Amino acid sequence: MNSIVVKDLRHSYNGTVAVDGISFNVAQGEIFGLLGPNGAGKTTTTEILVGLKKRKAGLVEVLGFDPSDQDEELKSRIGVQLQIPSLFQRLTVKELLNLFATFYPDPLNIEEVIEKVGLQDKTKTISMKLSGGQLQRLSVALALVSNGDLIFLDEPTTGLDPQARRGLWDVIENLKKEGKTVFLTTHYMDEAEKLCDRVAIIDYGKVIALSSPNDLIKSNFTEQALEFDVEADQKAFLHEKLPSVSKIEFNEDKATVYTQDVTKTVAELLAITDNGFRLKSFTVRSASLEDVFLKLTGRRIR
Amino acid sequence: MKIFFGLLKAHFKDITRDKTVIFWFFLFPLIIVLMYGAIFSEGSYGTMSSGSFDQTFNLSLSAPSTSTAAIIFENIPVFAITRVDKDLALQNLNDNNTDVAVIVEEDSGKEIVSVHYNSDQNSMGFFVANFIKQVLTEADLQMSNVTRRYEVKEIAKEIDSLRMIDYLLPGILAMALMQLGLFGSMQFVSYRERHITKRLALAPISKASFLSSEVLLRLMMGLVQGVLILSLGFLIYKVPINGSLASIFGIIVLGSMVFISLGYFLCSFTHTSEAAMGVIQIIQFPMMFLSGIFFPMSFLPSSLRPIVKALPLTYLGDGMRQIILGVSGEFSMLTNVSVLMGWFVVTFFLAVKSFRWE
Repeated sequence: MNSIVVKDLRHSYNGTVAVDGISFNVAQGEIFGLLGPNGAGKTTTTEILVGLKKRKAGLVEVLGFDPSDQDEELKSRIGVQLQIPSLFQRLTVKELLNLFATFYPDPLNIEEVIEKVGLQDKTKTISMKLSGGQLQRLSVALALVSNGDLIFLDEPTTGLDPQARRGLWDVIENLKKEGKTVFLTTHYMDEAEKLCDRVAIIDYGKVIALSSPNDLIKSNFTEQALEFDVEADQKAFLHEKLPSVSKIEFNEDKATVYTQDVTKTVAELLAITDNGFRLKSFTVRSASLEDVFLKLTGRRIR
Repeated sequence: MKIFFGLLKAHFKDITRDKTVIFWFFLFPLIIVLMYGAIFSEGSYGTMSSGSFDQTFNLSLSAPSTSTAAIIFENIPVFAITRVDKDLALQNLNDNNTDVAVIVEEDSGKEIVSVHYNSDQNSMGFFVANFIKQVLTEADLQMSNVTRRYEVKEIAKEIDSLRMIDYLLPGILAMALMQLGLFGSMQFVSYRERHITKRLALAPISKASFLSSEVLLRLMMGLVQGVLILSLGFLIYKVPINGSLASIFGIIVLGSMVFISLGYFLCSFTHTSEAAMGVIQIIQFPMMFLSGIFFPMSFLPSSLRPIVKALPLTYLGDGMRQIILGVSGEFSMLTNVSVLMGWFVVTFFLAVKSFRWE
């Protein structure tokens, strides 16, 4: 059973293509991630799915409705958090949540929602006095209070400190446990890897990969990644001295080398340190979604 | 209904917690009342007063001691008589020391009464001469015992004179309602600008309930303005409130509706609050001074009258004055109400046509 069906969706602004024929399904009860760099078409896609924008072409079904019909039943069954938190400026956190609770047939208890997003000590603060991160959490809280079957979160953790980010990850994982479907956009690959059952990576308005994070990594990389600092004049020299490596990526003064055989590559690296090469900030890790993105687009996401 | 009242409460809190709103919509009109009250509470516009007639006229009278006419004159309270000889009487008139010079001369059993006056515009001489003629003719008639065929009765209606503050107070209320309607609509522009309308469009609520809660709040604010301004005028300056509560309520609601619609219409052209502010200022500033809410229309040059007659605020001010004070105005009440209704229908239609949610 699919909560969202998207087929060959297209959208453009004054001739500039933003979404260029994307297709994906979101199954009921899963956390689905739409990944991509800024400007890839994530927000446009989300706004079309929640009914804020009318698509130019393609098929879209959300909980069996066409969102462009502005059906109130659909709206009462989805909770939405937008990137720009737009609220009555002089209403307090609690008043805003109370207001939104009146909009929905079966809202969550607002005290619970406040606790979930960690705004307990801000309930009586008016929204214009909240910090960026607090506004972001309030915006998520307004999506949660709907108690909808399907929750849209558009870059919910952007601008949050690490602790608040982890707190929100728990909230999102709990939504899944409660049987809700979550549609999440993010440009944090670690976030997508941790939370999402499946992800669609989009770039320049097209889906370039669609699968579970693990499958994406496995299908793109059998190797592990080694990272270390490198100086500009040593870049060419590395290729020659590390025969066990399948691929080397440079990002400013950082080198990422991919290898099937970590032991062998480490030995080769140690061998060249005798020739004056110094190994700094050395890490070994499994390939990540970030690497997948880099491999597929040739760019880092940030 | 729950959603409507939720939104109404939210609008109410959002607005009343804004100190600038409180100042401009509630305190500012009161300050204007106090300021104008302090300056104008005693003055009156000439055209509006009916003032009682308590002037006296100076008579330089030259008459023989046997003159009966002179006795009659002396019994007229509004005459201040100086008895002099003929030459001095005429001299006084020449020097403008008297309103009229009256010379009584006896001629074969008759008294010839000549009334001399300077016939310039300001002179009351013509009036006094006619008055004397009337008095003496009446005296003749009474003495000759003729049968009267006519009797003239004079009935003067007693009118309380309208002070300037009485005139101004309804005008200030009309101004306040205009500003509430026009500037109040900017709230919506700012909601649109800050994407609040967009956020609310995601919730299962109708746009109509959002807008109608905003309009209802504006109407309620208009009524509060009415209560504040009229109470202040009544309590401090004793401005007479003669209209019924229902009719005052009615004109406030009608006036607010006209300017709320006009405000939404004007705001639909603009994208930012700043631009909306500019457009509204262009409309409201001339309207404030040309509409006759601060002074009678007759004070303006006739070349401006067609503009004055085109402005809705003119009719709101005039209607407001008639209803509150119970006096007659520049236009009939039917005209005022019809013109305001017309403006409401047209601006409402335009506002709906040009309305932009985002």
